[in-house]
Amino acid sequence: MKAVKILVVVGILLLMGGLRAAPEDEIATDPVAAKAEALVKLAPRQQKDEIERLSVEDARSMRDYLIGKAIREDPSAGATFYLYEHLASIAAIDLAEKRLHKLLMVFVIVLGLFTGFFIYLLIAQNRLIKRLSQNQPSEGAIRSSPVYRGD
Amino acid sequence: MSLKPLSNLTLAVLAISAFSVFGSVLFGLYYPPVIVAQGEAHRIFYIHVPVAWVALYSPAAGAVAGLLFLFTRSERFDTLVLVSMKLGLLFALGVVITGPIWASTEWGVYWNWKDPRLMSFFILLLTMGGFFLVRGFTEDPRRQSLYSAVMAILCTGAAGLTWFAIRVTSPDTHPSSVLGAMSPRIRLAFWVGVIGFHIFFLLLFFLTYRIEALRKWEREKG
Repeated sequence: MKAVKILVVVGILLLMGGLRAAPEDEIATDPVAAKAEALVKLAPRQQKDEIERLSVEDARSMRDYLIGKAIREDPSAGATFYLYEHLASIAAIDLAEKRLHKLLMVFVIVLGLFTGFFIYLLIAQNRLIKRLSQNQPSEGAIRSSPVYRGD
Repeated sequence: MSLKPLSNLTLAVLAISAFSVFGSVLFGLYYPPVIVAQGEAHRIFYIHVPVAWVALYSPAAGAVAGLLFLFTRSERFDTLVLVSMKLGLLFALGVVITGPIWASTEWGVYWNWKDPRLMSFFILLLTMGGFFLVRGFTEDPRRQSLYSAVMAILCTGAAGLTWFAIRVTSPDTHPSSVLGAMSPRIRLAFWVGVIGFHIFFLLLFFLTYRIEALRKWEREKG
């Protein structure tokens, strides 16, 4: 039993050692890791430009790689990243909501403006045609007029 | 002038044109990818830029009609001037409403008085307002038509100033022309918006001209 326990502990230690792959190997084999390492070395302004060009999948993979790397270097960082991610998502959701509100405001105002003008045109045309039709004498009125017309 | 009802084909074309704006706006909402830096607010681009293009073309159409009026003195061209300027003002209002809303998400301010493009568009808007003031305060119909033609040409000068301000001056806050830098999906959604709003402009032009021509006829009939 004691031997089994020792073997289990050794096995766990070996597994953890295996998981902690040499960083240089990971960068050489994983393109996401290589991109992430290159991104870290850039100046902040260049980083911003590069981040804007990333696809959502690449951004997610690079985030997971960098967090994994930070946790390997400092195991206590895991709790900090967990907290940070949830707090940052609250701010991101709030910003996305504000942007969506602005977009909807533009939609409502523009469609209201153009639709309103379009409806105004249709109503104005209707009224004008009705008024002009009422002002025009009918065929019967012309024929029954007392004015001599020579026929 | 006879009051003929619109043919079925004309009505069908008008109905399709009426939905062109809605269709292009929906296409801009669903088809192109989001630009991460601006989030969903960037989709205002598919409305703001086509509306701005029409707001710049409409006074140009009015100026052409104005020049034709000055040479021919035909009332039909005066009606075209009035219609072009009415629609130009409508679309210009659309630009100054959508632009600041977009700007507040992108730059944090609604308006930048130091930006040459925003100021040139503001001048265009003032010139358009001046057109209607001049037309409204001129009682003599012949002078009204004459002054309107001249004002339409002035408005086109302001529109040209705005057009070149976007391309010639260095960017302050307002972005420079982005025609060459769009991804394929964004470019397609943009051009769908441009076509949709231009078709809608033609529809409004047709209807507004019809009404103005009828009003003129009613006035002449007494």
